[in-house]
Amino acid sequence: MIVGLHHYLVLAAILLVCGIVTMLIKRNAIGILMGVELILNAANVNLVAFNHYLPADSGIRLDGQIFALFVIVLAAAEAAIALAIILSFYNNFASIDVEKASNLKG
Amino acid sequence: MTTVLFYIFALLVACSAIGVAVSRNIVRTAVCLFFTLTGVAGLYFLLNAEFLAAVQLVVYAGGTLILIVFGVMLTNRLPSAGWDVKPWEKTVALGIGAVLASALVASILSLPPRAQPDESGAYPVLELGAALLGDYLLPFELVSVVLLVVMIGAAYLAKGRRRNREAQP
Amino acid sequence: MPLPATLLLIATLLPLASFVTLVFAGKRIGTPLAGVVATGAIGGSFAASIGALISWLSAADPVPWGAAREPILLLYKWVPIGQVGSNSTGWLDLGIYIDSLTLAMFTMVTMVALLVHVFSIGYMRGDKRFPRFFTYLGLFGFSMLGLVISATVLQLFIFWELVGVCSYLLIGFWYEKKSASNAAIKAFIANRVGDVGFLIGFGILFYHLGNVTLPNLWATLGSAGTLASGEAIGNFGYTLLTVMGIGLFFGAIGKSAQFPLHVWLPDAMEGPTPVSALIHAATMVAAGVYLCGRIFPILTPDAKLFIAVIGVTTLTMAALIAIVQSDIKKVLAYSTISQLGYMILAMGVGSWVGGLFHLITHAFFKALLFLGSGSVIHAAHHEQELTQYGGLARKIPVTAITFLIGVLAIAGTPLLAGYYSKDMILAHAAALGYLAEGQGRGGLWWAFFVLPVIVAYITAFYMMRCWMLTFWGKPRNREVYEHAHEYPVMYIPLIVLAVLSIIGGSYLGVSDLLQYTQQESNAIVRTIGGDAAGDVFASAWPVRSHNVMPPHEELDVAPAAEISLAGHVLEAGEHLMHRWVGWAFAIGIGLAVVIYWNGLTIAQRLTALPPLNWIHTWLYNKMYFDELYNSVFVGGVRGLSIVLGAFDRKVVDGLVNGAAALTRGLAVISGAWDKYVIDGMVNGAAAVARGIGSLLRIPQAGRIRLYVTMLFASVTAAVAVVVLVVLMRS
Repeated sequence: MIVGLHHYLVLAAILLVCGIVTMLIKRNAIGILMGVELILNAANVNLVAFNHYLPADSGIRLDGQIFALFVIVLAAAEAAIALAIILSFYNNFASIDVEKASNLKG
Repeated sequence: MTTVLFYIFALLVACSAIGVAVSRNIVRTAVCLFFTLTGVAGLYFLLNAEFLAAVQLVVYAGGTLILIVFGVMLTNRLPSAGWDVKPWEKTVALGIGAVLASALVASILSLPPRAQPDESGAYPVLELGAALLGDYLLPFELVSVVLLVVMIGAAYLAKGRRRNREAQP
Repeated sequence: MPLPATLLLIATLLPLASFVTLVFAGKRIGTPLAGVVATGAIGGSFAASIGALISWLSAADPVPWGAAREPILLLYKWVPIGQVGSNSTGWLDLGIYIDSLTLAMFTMVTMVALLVHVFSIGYMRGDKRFPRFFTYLGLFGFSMLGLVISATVLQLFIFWELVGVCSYLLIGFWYEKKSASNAAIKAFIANRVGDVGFLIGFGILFYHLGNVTLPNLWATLGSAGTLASGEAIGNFGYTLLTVMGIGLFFGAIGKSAQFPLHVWLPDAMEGPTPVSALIHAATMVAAGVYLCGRIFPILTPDAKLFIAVIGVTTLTMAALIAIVQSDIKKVLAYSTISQLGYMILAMGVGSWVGGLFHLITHAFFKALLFLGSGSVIHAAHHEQELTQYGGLARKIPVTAITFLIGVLAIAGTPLLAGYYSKDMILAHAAALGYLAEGQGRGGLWWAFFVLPVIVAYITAFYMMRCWMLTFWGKPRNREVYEHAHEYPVMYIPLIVLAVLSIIGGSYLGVSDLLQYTQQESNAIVRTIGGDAAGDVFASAWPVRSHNVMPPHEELDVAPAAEISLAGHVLEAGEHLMHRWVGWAFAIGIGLAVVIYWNGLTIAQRLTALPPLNWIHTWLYNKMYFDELYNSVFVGGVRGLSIVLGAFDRKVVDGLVNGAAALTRGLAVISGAWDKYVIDGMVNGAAAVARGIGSLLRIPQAGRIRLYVTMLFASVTAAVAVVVLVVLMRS
């Protein structure tokens, strides 16, 4: 069976769902951050796969990869900021349990 | 060959992703994430995106993940006992996941199959570089600004933390 | 600008400079020095006035119509008013008018003011508001001189009010004393009553003329003095002219303390004695007479009759009251009112020169008398009752002698100042009697002569009484007697004034100066009104036609061919006057000396007799004028206020309360509407918002994971719906 675009898309869907579920069921802030990373990877897989399976005459050659590249860079940046926030959070609550961050609760 | 490799990588990615989702130990979660990212990098190889695969390995697996592990180590003094989520929350999460998965798979399968990959061959890194410094020059430069901002912001947050700690005792 | 005008302006502005300086720096300058500053300023004014007088008299440019010199009239445009009245220039002018009268007044005012300033340095020493006293004196000097130099009636009125303010401030100078502050208020209100009349008169004048410059006034309305009833000058009817003249004269009634409004002047003696000398004897109260002198040509015969009646009433009444007063300053105050009555009478009977002449001589001897009384009061530690004095001549001889000179002057002793001026007035009054008799007007007109003659005797009597009780006999209060003493700074002004009282009538040439004034005024009137304009200041009332003349055999002198008719009558009047008044001073003074030789013993016996004691009580209480005014005006106002109060309570309050009740009813309805409908709507809206809020509050748990859950749930739902729809279609 020749691997087609559908395979990659289904795999990306699985990655996405796993990321979402991770975000939903983790109480650890870092775990949630990992879920976000999964979601971003799912998007990247989609981008690269679409780029790969585009018709040659579409005139689009590398845009998907470049998008993915930017996403990776931004994910790294996001991770850095998120970790800084998490450290600050930890400093204030002596924990990274997001359930404790309910000061805004009305 | 490609098909075999795809299934190996796909299995690795799917399994480790599920492991990320269900693992209760944060360190184990991080390890699973590492495998996922590596698997994705393998998939990039299969999709003729070698440079991207390398970046995925170096930046994601080597950088971001190490960063995350640092975070884990800095904050994970206590065992994560008593951090269990409530059953109904798990149920809701799984329900959402199931619905979304089925909807996505159904929509993907309804698409017309496109089995013909673009066989124009590998994209040279040279071309990627020309695109980055040509059509995508502005985003490229903006990303550098973003990285600078992130660096300053992270440093600021870290510094504020230290100052806070000094002030509190 | 001619030299006299420049000098007189300087003289006017110097006291103002002193006033401004002392207002801002008075306290810093300090007690003796502030007085020196003010005295220096007024001394400069005096010097400038003397300089102006010399310059004036030496400039004998020949001008037409026999005037000695031309009056100076400088006008400046002030307010554009457009065309008002018949003779308007379109502008309200300000300016200065200088003739011989102005110079005489300037010299007199600055001289008396200078002496009073010097006296005050001694008298007021030790007062805690010493600098303020001289501040007020500076303002007064400026106001009085400004009044005298004014060229228009409006300007005159402005300064008129300014001197009134100064008078108010200085009467109430010791405002801690209730009587002083009351007296100040009384003076102010009495003057306002007069000023209302002045304003009415001025309004009529301004409306019909539009140009109230003094020479213009004389040129336009100068024939009023010989106007017959029913005639008119332009659109100015006789009655209107009369009303206007009386209205303007009302200002003089208030300021010069004439009969109905005289009550403020005796009370004004609550002020410091130098103030009484300067303002309430010599200068300000004479402003009314000055005003009459300035408006003299525009007074109709009936207006003059009114003035003469007021004058003769005042002088008689005040002299009678003065006989029995026991407060030395009250005696002098009533004597002042009486003498002012003489001046006013002079204006009324047409003796223009006599009235103003008496003004100036009176200023000298009355200032002398007041300063002398100030010296006595100061020596006696502010004891003012004559009954507490006696024998002070031995303790304060300079004061006693100078005071005696003042008494002799006011009594009309020959060769002293009062003799000449009073005689001039009485001669005119006698001439008036002849004229009226010659025109068949009846004997009542002789009252204008007879009453002043009687009062001349009374004047000599009460003034000598005052002197005898103060300086003669045995001391009645040992304590006062023992401590009495006098200071050079206080008796030097007395000596100067005593000299002036001796020579002021004959040797200073005041009456000549005033005769010049008439000629000058006539000259300027002819300049404006043309050769046809008559001799506006010499119109001898009630001669409406100079052709009517009394029979020759009734006059004591044979008519000389070269003497004009009016002059002929006047000569006859002079003879009559000399016959009756010649020895009045001796009789009055002699009687007083006899009665008061041994203090109060004879007087007390006399006043115990039945008819005399009633009169004494009546006079002692000042003819009950205060009580009368109190019951009529104050009581009337009070009664009116009771009626009005009842009206207020019953009618106005009823209306108000009814309106209030109505409003209240409306308010209840409106309130109910508000409460149930509007509030209901508002509360309903609030309740709705609250309900929605409480609903929305549930998901706002503040928990990140819940938000994430909801986010993905909704995204999932949306995706699922889209997918389902797409799949079903395909």
